[in-house]
Amino acid sequence: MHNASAPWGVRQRVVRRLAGVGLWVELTRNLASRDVETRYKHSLLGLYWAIINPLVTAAIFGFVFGVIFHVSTKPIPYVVFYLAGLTFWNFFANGVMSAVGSVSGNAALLAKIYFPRVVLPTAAVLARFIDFLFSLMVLIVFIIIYQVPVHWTSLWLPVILVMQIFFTMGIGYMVAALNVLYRDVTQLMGLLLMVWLYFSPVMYRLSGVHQNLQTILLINPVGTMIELERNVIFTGHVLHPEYLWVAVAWTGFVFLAGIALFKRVEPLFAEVM
Amino acid sequence: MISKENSGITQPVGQGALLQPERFARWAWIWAYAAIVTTMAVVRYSLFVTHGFSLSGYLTAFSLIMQGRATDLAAHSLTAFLFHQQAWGLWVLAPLVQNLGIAFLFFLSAMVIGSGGLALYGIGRVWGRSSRTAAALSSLYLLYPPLIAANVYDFHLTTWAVPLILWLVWFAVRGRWLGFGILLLIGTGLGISVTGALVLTGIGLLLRREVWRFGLVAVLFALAYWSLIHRGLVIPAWAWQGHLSLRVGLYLLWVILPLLAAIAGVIIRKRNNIVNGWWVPTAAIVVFNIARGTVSDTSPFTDHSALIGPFFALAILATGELGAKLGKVALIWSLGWVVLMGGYLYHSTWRPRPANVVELSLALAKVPPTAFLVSQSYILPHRGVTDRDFPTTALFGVPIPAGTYVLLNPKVSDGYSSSAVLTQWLNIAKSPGKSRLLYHKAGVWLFVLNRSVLPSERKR
Repeated sequence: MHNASAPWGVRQRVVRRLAGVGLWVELTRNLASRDVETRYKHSLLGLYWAIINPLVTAAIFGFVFGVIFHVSTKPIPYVVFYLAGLTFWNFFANGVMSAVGSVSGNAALLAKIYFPRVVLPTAAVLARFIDFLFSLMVLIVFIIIYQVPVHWTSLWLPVILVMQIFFTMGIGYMVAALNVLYRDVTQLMGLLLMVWLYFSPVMYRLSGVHQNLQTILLINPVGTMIELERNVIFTGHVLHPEYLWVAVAWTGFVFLAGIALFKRVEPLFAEVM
Repeated sequence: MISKENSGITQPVGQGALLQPERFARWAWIWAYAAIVTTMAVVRYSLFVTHGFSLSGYLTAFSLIMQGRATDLAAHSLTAFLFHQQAWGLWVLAPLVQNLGIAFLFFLSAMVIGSGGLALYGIGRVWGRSSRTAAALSSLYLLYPPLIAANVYDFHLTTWAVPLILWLVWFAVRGRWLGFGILLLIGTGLGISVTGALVLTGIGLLLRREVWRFGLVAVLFALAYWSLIHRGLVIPAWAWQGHLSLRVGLYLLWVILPLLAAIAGVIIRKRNNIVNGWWVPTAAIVVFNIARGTVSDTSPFTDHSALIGPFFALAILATGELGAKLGKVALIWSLGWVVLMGGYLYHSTWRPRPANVVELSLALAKVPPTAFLVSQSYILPHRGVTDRDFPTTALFGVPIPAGTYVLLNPKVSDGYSSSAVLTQWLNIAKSPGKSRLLYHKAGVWLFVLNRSVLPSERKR
């Protein structure tokens, strides 16, 4: 009896789990598209804001650092160099900031229906990934305008981006859960991201800083990812390949720790909100 | 509403066992360990801090294997010790390391070793220990200095036996033959000393009533493999000359002293399970280590010291609950380990790190990839996977051919090359007839040998 029912039990469990995953994915997709729609609803320029923001920032920083301070990023023009770093950084920073309020800002939804709460920060991060894809188009346009050669190693970009998505989601889960308990997290993250930006090679070239400082900066996984992303696009070879595995290890930790923390705090959501 | 109520399943969607916070937390703990250890290893590597010879030996072995020259493993001075270990795992690792880089080796090693913490936790729970006791021992395992240091300061495939043994026991106590069998096969790929450890694992299992069949299979399989593949049993000779160095002191402090303290502790507390089978392999490894001279001629961070870890942990776990007092002792002990590790890290890593990394990198870039290179052990791994390395020491009695590049940084010792050896190489650098100087800046010397250097000419 036991032997006869065992395979059926396994199959049933697999089917049930796959069905669960399917619903989970569908829900995340719907929430992400709703997030993008509501974000740009009733605005005159709509999704163009996703393009305008990085464009204006790149223009300002390009003028200040490239024209006034003559920061050299040869052979890549500073505007393109900075825009590339900013595009990838913005995805991380915007993803985290969207995730912060994803649970606390949906109190009404949480009160009405039951669904896995972890979907909310996931959808928030994925919504910012859609914005990121628009920004990436702007970067491609700039690369074409400035005729910057792009290497075939750019094909590795999706792999690094997957890692970045997981890292962003991990941080997103942590801050989304903590923000339900302590609303200071939103303010704190704003500050932390500002410091984090300067510790990441977004507006400066990593090879230009002192060797010992490079080592410290590369321990930062976001910095490593941005450096890798720029390297695979513009240089065709990775300058610090050994730090890729440091970033992989931290990404795995942050993602799992993020979910663990979220799931631990989740039962308190109903009490606090 | 998204739920499964209509299908008669009460569990909400996405709330299966996979999404339980405890499970994520345990995996996060292992990944945190992997992240910290990988970071330490990569930072050491990028700062040109000393690695032992073994890492260079493994990289050379990978290179020879990838070139289809595995038969040269025995002939090459750096890989002879690996040839004698007869570890087929090298063939699996070689393409991975060549394509994914040395840091991948550090990462993989940290993940594999870290996973042993999960196995130990699982075994503890199956044996009826509280979550606190299982977690405490699991954490002690992760902090076990010989285990971390054997792979942070160097690389040793044999240390992978530590988690492997724990997972073997986990599969045995869960009654899972398939996983047990697969791991037993994998264990044979880690070398001769691991096959020996598999025999000891089998003995440990054999002495437990509920899993004796697994033990019997492990003993018979490992002995059969040993007799068919490895060439006879090597009985170690007594080699310790009684010299008490810093390393011996640390070994006694971290391995022998806790072992004796634990034994004394469980005897005083008169637990029912004091006498359990896991003390047999633990004692066997300690005796083996002392006999073969590990205590005297190597550091406490060797793979052989690390092999005590799983058996010792299992012996303690089988004894019973740690209790509140013993739990505190374990915590203090582990914190002590962290402090000692910090001290040793400063003493062996931060203090002697080269200040001329830029010059070292520049000099290294001038060495053609196909050229032979004589250098110190912390410089050699930076060439990647190659079979063209010679350490500066005279430990290896092979002739060094003309045309070989020599890269020296006498300001920072690799802990192996004596000052006489370094002086001899510098004298060659300063002799135009014997060498051609290519680079000399900030204490870094790079030159090419005009004639070969024979073993008889080399200092020790």
